[in-house]
Amino acid sequence: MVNYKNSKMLGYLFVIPLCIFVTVFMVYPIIFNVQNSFYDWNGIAADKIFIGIQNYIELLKDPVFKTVLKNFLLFAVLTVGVQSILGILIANLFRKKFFGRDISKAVIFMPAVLSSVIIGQIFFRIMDPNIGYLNAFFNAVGLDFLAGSWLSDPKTAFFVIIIINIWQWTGYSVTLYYGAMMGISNDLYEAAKIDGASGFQILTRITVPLVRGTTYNLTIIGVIGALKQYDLVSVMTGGGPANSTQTFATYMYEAAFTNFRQGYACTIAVVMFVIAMIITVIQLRLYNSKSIY
Amino acid sequence: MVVSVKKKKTIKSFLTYLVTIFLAALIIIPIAILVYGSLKGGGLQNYIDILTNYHIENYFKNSIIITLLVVALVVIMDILAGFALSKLNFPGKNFIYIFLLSALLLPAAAIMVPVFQISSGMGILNTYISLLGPYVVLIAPFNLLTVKNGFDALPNTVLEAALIDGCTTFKALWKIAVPMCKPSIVMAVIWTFLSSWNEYLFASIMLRNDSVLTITVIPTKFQQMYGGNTGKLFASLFIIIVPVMAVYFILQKFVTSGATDGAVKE
Repeated sequence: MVNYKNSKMLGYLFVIPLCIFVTVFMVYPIIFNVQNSFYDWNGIAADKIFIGIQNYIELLKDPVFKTVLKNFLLFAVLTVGVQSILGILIANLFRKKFFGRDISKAVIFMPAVLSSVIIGQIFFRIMDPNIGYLNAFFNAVGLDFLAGSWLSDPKTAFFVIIIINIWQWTGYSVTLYYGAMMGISNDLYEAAKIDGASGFQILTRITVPLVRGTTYNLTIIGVIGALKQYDLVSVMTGGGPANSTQTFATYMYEAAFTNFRQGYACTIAVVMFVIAMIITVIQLRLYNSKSIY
Repeated sequence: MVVSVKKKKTIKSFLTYLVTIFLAALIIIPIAILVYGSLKGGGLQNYIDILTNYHIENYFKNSIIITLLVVALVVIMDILAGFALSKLNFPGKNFIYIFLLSALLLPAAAIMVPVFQISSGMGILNTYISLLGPYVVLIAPFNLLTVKNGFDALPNTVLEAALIDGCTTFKALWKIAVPMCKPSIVMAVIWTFLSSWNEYLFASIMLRNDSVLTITVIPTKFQQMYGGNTGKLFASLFIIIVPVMAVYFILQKFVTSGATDGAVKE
């Protein structure tokens, strides 16, 4: 710590601008949502009708909200799981330098910087059941049974979105794992090799435990990502067919700006905050228990 | 014995190449399909049409203005706060740090109704300004980590020496700390740029007027306009992602190390 004369005053002066933004655009919205979740309100009219916990009761009974919760869990578990496993395996492949490695790494990361909206549009077109390239490809190589309208089937549509998310974000996991693996001392690997450990044993006994900090970070980022998921669903299915791909964000958007039930939308927001808080508490617990670092 | 080890190595490196090529192809093929599809119908004429008839430059301009404002706000505030949290001592510092970082876990959608109401109450819907508040809160915390990590790595002795030489705190920050932490600040600039450029939810809530729309919202509009015309739709999508792809490949080292920095340390 540098001991400036006016360190106290300057310290506050420097953090105040950001604190003001966070207060206005995070703290105030939390209070606003909690307050308005007890009202029936269209978001436009000046008068709101106080209805107590009616919105919460309705939410508990709402079958679409059950889909939202199920989709959140499915999205979180599948994307975090698959992206971590693929991330570790691919980063492990890149540990040794070979011709073309760095450019391949750059290519695999690239989707992470592109807009999900555009990625969604591209895949939406590629998967078009009539004029899309995917079905044409399946038919051409004799895999006709794979050709279908995956996005218009309520049973498969959400899985398509999960797969596209994995396509977009696996490179991000690879990069983080690669960074962590570069920090592992080479001596460990050499010693393991001399002891006759197989490549698989080295991966599971040395690499995986030593990159667990990254796994932990990616899990938090991924679960929050599942809670936030909006862009892909919005451009690919708009929550349909038959509400089967609704997420917290798309369902809330629909409640607030399509059905003009902003009180109900606030109720959904409150549930989101509670889930985000639970994740934070788990994160702090793990962080403080020092089992991670 | 020697031969078999060599053989094993050859097979291994062959497999490595095979898997790597497969992975790269998996990423490149959809982009290649986009380019191929964009030439359908009119060929290059599709591009010329989009570039000349639809004022796509206006949407780029809107995105650039908003993004520059957000980058300036976020990076300046992150430098100030990051420096204070890293190098200055004041009561309540830890609490403030945790308070600012808690916004990392804020799901954007959860603030959309209140933020919409704030903007509507202030009469700033359909303006660039309406996006600044939510963007700062959603983007600044992640980059605050990057910037603070940069300052943390800067030895205190350097700043103390400046102090003894009669340097003011402000001068020490702008003339010494910032130039010495350039890499982490550059990363913050790039990640703020990308996050702001690609944001979709708030851009589609706050901006309804055609003259203020950002480039990220445009594909949805083009989708409605060219529903049946894949060629033009794909051409417009490609025009939209080319600048980001170009920037990415030029600054690739910074982008990926920025990703690692923000998320791994903490």
